[in-house]
Amino acid sequence: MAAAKVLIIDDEKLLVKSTCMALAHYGFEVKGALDGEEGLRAALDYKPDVVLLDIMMPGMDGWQVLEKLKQDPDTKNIPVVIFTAREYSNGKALAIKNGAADYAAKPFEPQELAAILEKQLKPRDKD
Amino acid sequence: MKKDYTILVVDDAVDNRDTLKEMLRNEGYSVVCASNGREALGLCLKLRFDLFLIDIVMPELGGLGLLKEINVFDNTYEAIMMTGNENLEDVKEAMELGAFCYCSKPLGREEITSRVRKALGMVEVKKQRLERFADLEKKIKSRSDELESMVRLLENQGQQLDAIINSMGEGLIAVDNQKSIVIMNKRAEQMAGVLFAECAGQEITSAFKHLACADQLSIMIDKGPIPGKGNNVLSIAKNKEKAKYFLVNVQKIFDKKGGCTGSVVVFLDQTETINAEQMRNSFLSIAAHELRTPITIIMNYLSLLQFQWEDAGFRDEALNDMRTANHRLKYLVNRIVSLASLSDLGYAKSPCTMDVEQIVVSESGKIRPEADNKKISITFENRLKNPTISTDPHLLRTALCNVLSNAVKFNRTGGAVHIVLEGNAHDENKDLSITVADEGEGLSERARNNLFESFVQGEDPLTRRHGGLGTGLYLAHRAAEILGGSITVQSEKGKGSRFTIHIPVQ
Repeated sequence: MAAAKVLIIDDEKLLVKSTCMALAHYGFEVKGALDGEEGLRAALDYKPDVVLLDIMMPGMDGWQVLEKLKQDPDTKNIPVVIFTAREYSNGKALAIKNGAADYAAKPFEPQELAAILEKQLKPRDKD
Repeated sequence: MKKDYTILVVDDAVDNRDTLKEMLRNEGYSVVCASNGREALGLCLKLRFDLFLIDIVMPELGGLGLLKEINVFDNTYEAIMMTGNENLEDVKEAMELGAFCYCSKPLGREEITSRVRKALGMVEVKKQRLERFADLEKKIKSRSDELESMVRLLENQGQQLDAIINSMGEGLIAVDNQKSIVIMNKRAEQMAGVLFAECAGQEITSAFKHLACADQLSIMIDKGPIPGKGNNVLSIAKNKEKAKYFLVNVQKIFDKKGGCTGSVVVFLDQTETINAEQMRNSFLSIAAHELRTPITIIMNYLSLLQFQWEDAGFRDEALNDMRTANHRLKYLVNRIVSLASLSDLGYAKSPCTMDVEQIVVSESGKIRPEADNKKISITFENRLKNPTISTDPHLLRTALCNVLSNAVKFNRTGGAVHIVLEGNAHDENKDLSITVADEGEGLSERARNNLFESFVQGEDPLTRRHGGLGTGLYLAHRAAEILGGSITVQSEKGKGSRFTIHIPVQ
């Protein structure tokens, strides 16, 4: 079966680049988007199996991107994992309440991230 | 027991004098004699008498003349007049002049001793009365002194209380049962932006109606603040000023019978503490974000290098990216360190003589790579005749590099940075200024006002377009401040900014 597709939306170029490479190593097909607008377009075109979304971004922040993803019938079923460098005291609850599937705080080992994403994939997408 | 009375007998007839003298001595009195009024007055200067026995008709100074002089009304002694011929006019005048009584010659022993006793009885009454008066006078005097000092004390205490209340760092307002303002100190006037003279006697919500917190304050006075709850802090915002935060303490005033007569409200300014707390939280949150990103990048590559070490191309790329991330970590840590050291109020300057032109050249050289990336040109104009000054070079560099770095960071691609170094227009040896002008997005009035105070970039930290801790201008401002100078900014949204560092020349 084809590799699971991950879309990373984060404004940190090097972070997107290195995370793409690391996730590729764990068997994911990965695409990066450097801001919210680009991310929303990619979610429609690339049709990822899971979205990895940063919160603190210039222009449209992660929460706004999440809201738009959940509003669009074409993207509302894609699980979104919030991954942020900013610690929120109730981060996970906030993420779930806003429609995200999970929440992960940077930094993390690529292996951990791979495991978090793995959990979000539907059984049919697993090998 | 008979008191020791002294009697002066004044008579020009020597036998009369002798008879009276003997008669009275036998009664136990001391007796002194004078042959006329003048002699008697002379004796009065040396001796004190209790009773005068005065013949009315005498040469030199007669009895009536003497009686006038000795003034029995205002003294404790008495006078008995003696007369040989019953001249009623003389007797009448003598009585009017205060004589105790009169006796007609020849004088009988019984009559004399009885009148003398009565007169001396009156002398005794007069003396006691005088003593009582003196006593009373003394008492009244001491009481009035007491009262006077009490009034003075109260006046002093009132003034002292006023002085204390007005010098308090806390705002103080006292209200009566109807919540009408009865006392308000200077600090409270400043706080509320209204004078006591204008709002005395007014109900507090109407006196403070220009403040959004008036209703809340009124509730606090009714119910008292709730201990341990955060709602004891009131935010007071006046017109365009930034909000100030006050810790409010309400104390009810009770009279002797235990009835509530009003409340005293004390306001403690917590603005700095609360702002510092918000600033610290915001800084910590941004710092964490900024640190975590490069760490995640390094972790990603470290993990990949375990598997792909043999791939030389990947290895170089990974090492290069890790170096970039590490550089960013180093920069952030340095930032945090200088923040800590410049925030220290006891920062010790170490001035030395140096060439300020060279410092501008070297600092603008450091931002050249970043400027080149955005195709930004940097120009420098030195208008100083003598660029050698004495100042702390580290602080000057800190101020300058932060302003320069912002001029590039917030500039448009292809824009320009223009630096002008110039002296005081009147006296170059007094102070100098370095102006850095950019062609960036400029600053709104609101952003300009907060610029040097907090670490924020004048934007919502969640969506800010530029990385970094947002500490740059704070550091620049602190450095200039420690140097005894300042930083000013001229800017308009959309038209770029001009930052000027003013430095005193030592």
